[in-house]
Amino acid sequence: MDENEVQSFLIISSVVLFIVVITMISLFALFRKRRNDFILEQKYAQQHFEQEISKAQIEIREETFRNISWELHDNIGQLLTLAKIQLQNNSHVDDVKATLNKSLKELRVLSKLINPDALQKMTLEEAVKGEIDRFNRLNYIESVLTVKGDPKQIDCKIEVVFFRILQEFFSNTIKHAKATKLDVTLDYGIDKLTIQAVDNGLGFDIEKENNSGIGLDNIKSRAKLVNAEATIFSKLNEGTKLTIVYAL
Amino acid sequence: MSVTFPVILSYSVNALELIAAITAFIHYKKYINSTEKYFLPFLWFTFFVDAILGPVVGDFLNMDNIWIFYGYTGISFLFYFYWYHKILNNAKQKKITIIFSIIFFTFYVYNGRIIEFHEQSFIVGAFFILILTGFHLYQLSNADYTVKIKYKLSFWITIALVLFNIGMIPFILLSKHFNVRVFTTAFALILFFLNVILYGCYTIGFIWTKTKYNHF
Repeated sequence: MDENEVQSFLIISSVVLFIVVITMISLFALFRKRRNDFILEQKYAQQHFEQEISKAQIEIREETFRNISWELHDNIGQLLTLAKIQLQNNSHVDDVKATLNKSLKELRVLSKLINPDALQKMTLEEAVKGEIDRFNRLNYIESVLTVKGDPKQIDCKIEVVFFRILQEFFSNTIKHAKATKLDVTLDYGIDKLTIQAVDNGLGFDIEKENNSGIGLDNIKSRAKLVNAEATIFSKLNEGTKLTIVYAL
Repeated sequence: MSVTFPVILSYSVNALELIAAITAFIHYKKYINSTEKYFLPFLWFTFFVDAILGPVVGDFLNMDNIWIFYGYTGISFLFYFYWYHKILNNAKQKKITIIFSIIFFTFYVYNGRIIEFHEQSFIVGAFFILILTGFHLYQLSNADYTVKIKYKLSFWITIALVLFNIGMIPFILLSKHFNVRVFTTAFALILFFLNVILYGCYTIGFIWTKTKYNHF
């Protein structure tokens, strides 16, 4: 190589090397940053998930307290008042006995339902059945639970979210929808679980209604949190249908 | 030395191509379900053209083999465009890939008539490839597997193409500017360095990649 060629070689190789090295460093820095961002995002998502689960658990507990309060007041309280009136009116002792027996029976059922150990070990099916039985027992609404397929094991955190979603739906059905019938189906398919809750209440116009007010946004976002999809269908005076699909 | 050294480097590049092709063959099962599977025949084709067909036509038949290498340049760029068209998710970017292919092909055919313009075709192709690699790297940086990016074969192939082409463009332009002759040691040495990066990245990619990261 003559001197000119050596000079050209040095210049060209320096430029090429410089560009290649700078590109390498930039790409390394970019992917390292993206990797760190991603890890942080994942951590944040995990924290958010845990927070939401805790929130759902607290809400379930609050709802349970509310239910106990209602049951004590509307059911057991009423029965005891009846027993007191029967005693004041000198009713037949067998009638008083029957009323007190019914009160005791209701008290035992309630005690069993709110036992924290029992609540902890409950499957989704058992928890929903407890709610449905309660609605029927207290004559709140005529309710039916249907389970299709073979129930499969689901992470208890996910079950908590599904139960809370259903509880919110039931609460809307009883408080706002003035429904007389409630049908709940748990369909365990080969690769997905489909949960459906249908009432025959007043319904609402999905387009017009401010959904956030009745917790529909909350239901959808909670389902999304556990990678499930919640869809709500409703028409004025034709009831409301909630469907949750979860890939098993 | 000025005569033999470039030849040794040229054989070394052939050796790098062969190593990459053999590694691709050994680890084929890992990426059989992805579009990267086309790289196995492509790498063997590269080795065949560069190490066998080119030298046979040029050295043994004493014919001008420049058309063989120009033909290879066209096929390789169109192959890369096709591959990026397959792996890019964004519809707009897919359209851009088709536009790039058409522009490149037009340049390629037009420049093909004059040997001095062959380098221009390479620069146009390399420039388009750099843009497409940018699209793919952006796609990879926003995907779930960013954390384990080293196991993704398309990442290594893209890195190889970025580093090779980003080096080749100034190399060709400056070589022309300084009027460096094609078969000098300087040319061969820089070309060898860029080929080490290209086939080195390919080889690392084939070795490190894991099946579950190659699904598209």
